[in-house]
Amino acid sequence: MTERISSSTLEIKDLDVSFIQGEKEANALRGISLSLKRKEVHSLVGESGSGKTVTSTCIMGLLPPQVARINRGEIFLGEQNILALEEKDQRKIRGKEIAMVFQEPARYLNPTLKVGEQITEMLRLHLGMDKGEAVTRALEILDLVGLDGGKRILGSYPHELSGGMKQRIMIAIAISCDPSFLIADEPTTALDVTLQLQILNLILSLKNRLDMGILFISHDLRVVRDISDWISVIYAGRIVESASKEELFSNPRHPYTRMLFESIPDADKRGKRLKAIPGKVPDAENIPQGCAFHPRCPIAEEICGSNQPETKDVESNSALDSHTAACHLIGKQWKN
Amino acid sequence: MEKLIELKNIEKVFKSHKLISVKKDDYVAVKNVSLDIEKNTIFGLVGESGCGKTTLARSVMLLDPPGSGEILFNGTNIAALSGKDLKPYRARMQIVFQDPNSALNPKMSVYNCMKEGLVNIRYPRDKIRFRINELLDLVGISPGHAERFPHEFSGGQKQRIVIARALSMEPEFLVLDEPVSNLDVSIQAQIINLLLDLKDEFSLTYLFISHDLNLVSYLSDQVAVMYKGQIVESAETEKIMESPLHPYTLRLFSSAPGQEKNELFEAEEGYSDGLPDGFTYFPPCAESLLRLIDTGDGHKVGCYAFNGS
Amino acid sequence: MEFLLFIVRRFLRLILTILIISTIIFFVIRVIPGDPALVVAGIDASEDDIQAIRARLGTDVPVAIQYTRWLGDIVRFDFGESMISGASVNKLIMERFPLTLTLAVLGIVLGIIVAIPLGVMSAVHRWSFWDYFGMVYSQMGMAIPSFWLGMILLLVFAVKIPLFPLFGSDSLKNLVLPAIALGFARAAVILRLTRAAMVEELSREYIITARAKGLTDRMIRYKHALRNAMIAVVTVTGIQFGYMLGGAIIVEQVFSLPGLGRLFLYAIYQRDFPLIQGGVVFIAVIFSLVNFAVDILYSLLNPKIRIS
Ligand SMILES: Nc1ncnc2c1ncn2[C@@H]1O[C@H](COP(=O)(O)OP(=O)(O)O)[C@@H](O)[C@H]1O
Ligand SMILES: Nc1ncnc2c1ncn2[C@@H]1O[C@H](COP(=O)(O)OP(=O)(O)O)[C@@H](O)[C@H]1O
Ligand code: SF4
Ligand SMILES: [Mg+2]
Ligand SMILES: [Mg+2]
Repeated sequence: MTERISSSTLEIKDLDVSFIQGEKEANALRGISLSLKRKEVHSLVGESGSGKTVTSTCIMGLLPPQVARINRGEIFLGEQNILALEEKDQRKIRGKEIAMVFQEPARYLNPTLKVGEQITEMLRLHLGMDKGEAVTRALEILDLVGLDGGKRILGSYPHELSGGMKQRIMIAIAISCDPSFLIADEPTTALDVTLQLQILNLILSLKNRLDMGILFISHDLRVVRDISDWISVIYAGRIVESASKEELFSNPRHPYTRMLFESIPDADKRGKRLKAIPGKVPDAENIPQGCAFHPRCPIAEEICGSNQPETKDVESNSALDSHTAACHLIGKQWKN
Repeated sequence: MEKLIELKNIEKVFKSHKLISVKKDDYVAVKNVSLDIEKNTIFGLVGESGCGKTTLARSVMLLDPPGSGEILFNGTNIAALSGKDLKPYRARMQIVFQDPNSALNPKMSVYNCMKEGLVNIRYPRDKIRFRINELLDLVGISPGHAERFPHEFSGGQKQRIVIARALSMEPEFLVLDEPVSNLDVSIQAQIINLLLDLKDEFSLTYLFISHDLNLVSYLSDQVAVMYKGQIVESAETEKIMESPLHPYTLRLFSSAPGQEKNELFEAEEGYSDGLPDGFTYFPPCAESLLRLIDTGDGHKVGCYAFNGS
Repeated sequence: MEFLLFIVRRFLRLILTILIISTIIFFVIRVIPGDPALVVAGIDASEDDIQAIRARLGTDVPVAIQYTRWLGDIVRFDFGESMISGASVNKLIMERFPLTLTLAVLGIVLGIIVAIPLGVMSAVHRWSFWDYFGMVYSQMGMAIPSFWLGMILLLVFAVKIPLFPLFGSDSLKNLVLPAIALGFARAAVILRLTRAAMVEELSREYIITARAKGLTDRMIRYKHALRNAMIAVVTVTGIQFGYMLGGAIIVEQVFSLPGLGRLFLYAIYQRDFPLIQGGVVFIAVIFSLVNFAVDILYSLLNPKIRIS
């Protein structure tokens, strides 16, 4: 077996990424910083188009090289800046150190390869197992992700399995080489509530068993509530607020975060209008000047349209944890 | 209250079309569904995907070859009508599907997409442009964007356009089949607000289909829970929220994200523990035909093991 | 079990197709105005001659009876005798078929050997030398008629540089140039399709998964993408093979090969109706069999199809 690097932190520092298409430049990430420890779930929450998937594909080293340009930033796996590695060394990290689960398992599994092959090929490549060992290990993994009837499942094709089972297979593939970090990009968005809960439970139990650090991506604050230790809110390629889960839920400070909470429908709000966030996330090609959120922000003032707010520490309910937000008017009162 | 829509024993079977087939694999997607929708209310239908919600919706809209059962619209059984007799009813009920992409022709501008329907109902030609602008404005799309093509709009905007097109038929009844399931929560709220405004403005009646119980309980007056093609429980929203009776309803409630949970609820297939009094075993219910029992005040629960306690 | 059922279903479809085709052939020949016997007999034949020819053709009885006989013949695979040589049509076809089949197989094999690797290379290294080469090749393949290519090949490789024999059909060597002439254009079609299919598959989401697993580019291309691309490639290759049997007729002319093509061509010149009928049905059967084989192969490659 090859030797393990086994790092205990994954740290993204000031990541800035653009997509270049002819004359146009889409500045998808504008200085993202995130840090992830093993045994911890860090959730990244924001609307579609805010840069969540670009962040995760960049960590995996999977940005399309023809169009993507990394303007700035570093990604440290332990001591090593993986962005500076050559493709062949990055490949040894992918799947083995950092693994990823995608939103739509039906499209992200190869339709013509048996599930067994899709799991074992990685074990053979990264861990140097022979076929027999790999199958034994694959059966253990299926058990771990809560799929019984292992042999039969290994011999089936993706389309023969239900949506929930397919997502379990994606997870099985991701954890098969016992990675230190798992990136889960909206793994439950395509699933119903009951299946969603099952998958969330599974991810949580795997984290505990395998001591993984998890970057969990979602557009729905409700979904991340039960599983996160830490939450960062992303808007137009920047982290606008970051705090521990308890802190963020009890004391959201950034106007965007607060509005995300308010737009959630539930029975308590019956008869009242939902507080929708007007407008939509700006295209990465067309980020507004100043605070990118200002066209949608109910408390914006003149400064918001001209100066980009710095990320600053804000008062935290808990003395231990830091709580940061990027807003000029963090203390401003607003009525609902 | 006046009933606008009454469904009586709707059943829909998908026949297998195989030339030669060892076993007959007809599939009963909707079994014996009956429900009443009152005028100017929202009737919520929840259930997990594959339980038959869309099939029921399409049956109600008479989009598929009809199954059995009656569909009363203002007292007229439209399932028995055809051709010319049916046509006026077609415009009076409209449907909005989950995926606006499949509802909008990518090669047609928004204006042309909407014009089609209006021409079809013989709307005065010289007033069509004015009408389309009015409708787009109503759903929050700038009429100046009418010449754009669907791909130039975001998911939420496309859904607004689909809603505008449905409204152009001046319907009384709208079936909304997971109209916001593909959208972000923040955008969902915009569309939900729009739908609520439109309902008030035009006295509409909605059948709102979703797998999101939070959403359904936020906006509907009545809720029915569907499981494997059957309605297992139905009641006024407050009642079903306060005292859900069917184990499947309980399970849906406790799996909804954001519900306060002391510990995570282990949702497993085929559990039988922790059922409320009056129920014995749950999975077999799915196999046999349920009888809906009224437990009082229109709170109906279907369970063949319910012993009335 | 599912799979067996699938094969049975496809086989029944095959039988149905053949039945329909032969019915069409029957009516095209019988029902269109003009008595075949008159055509065969020529202008100055006597009434008796014509009557005799009608008897031989079997057109002297009502159409309904002719049709039942025809179906009977088809089921027994018996098309009677050639009006010119008197030999059984089956025997004539079977004598010539092996050559045509070898030619077509050789042509398609050559086509595949050229087209699939080139198509894959073009897709994987887009805008590289190989991609441009592939583009030029497929343009030429579409534009150059096979009889012209055949003549050029003969001129260059049999006359100027006598690498291959000019005449004859007794060794494989004789078939090389005809196979190239035949396979050239088909390869162009397969090449374009392979490239398109590979490009498409490489942009699919499961490729991202494969990359996220840390697989090598080779594994991603040849194990993951190619496997899926082959589904479309096999179908088109099968259809091309069917065309090839038709194309062989012309190429056999150019190379003076005594294959089916020449047999049928002469049958048409000489108005040998039984042979024409038999030939058309035979080609139709071969076509359907190829399609049948493609269907089976397709379903083996595409696990989804077997269920539906
Ligand atoms: N390959 C690409 N080419 C150009 N723009 C892209 C590409 N991928 C993503 N983007 C842009 O980057 C922004 C962020 O996208 P994404 O990370 O997919 O959002 P999210 O995952 O949060 O929904 C969007 O504006 C999107 O249009
Ligand atoms: N045209 C069809 N032919 C056969 N089966 C179908 C067809 N449409 C739907 N079904 C089946 O009927 C069931 C219910 O589907 P659907 O009504 O779409 O569920 P939902 O909308 O609740 O997700 C599913 O099991 C589905 O596979
Ligand atoms: S900086 Fe201004 S516009 Fe941005 S979130 Fe704060 S108040 Fe709103
Ligand atoms: Mg995304
Ligand atoms: Mg549906």
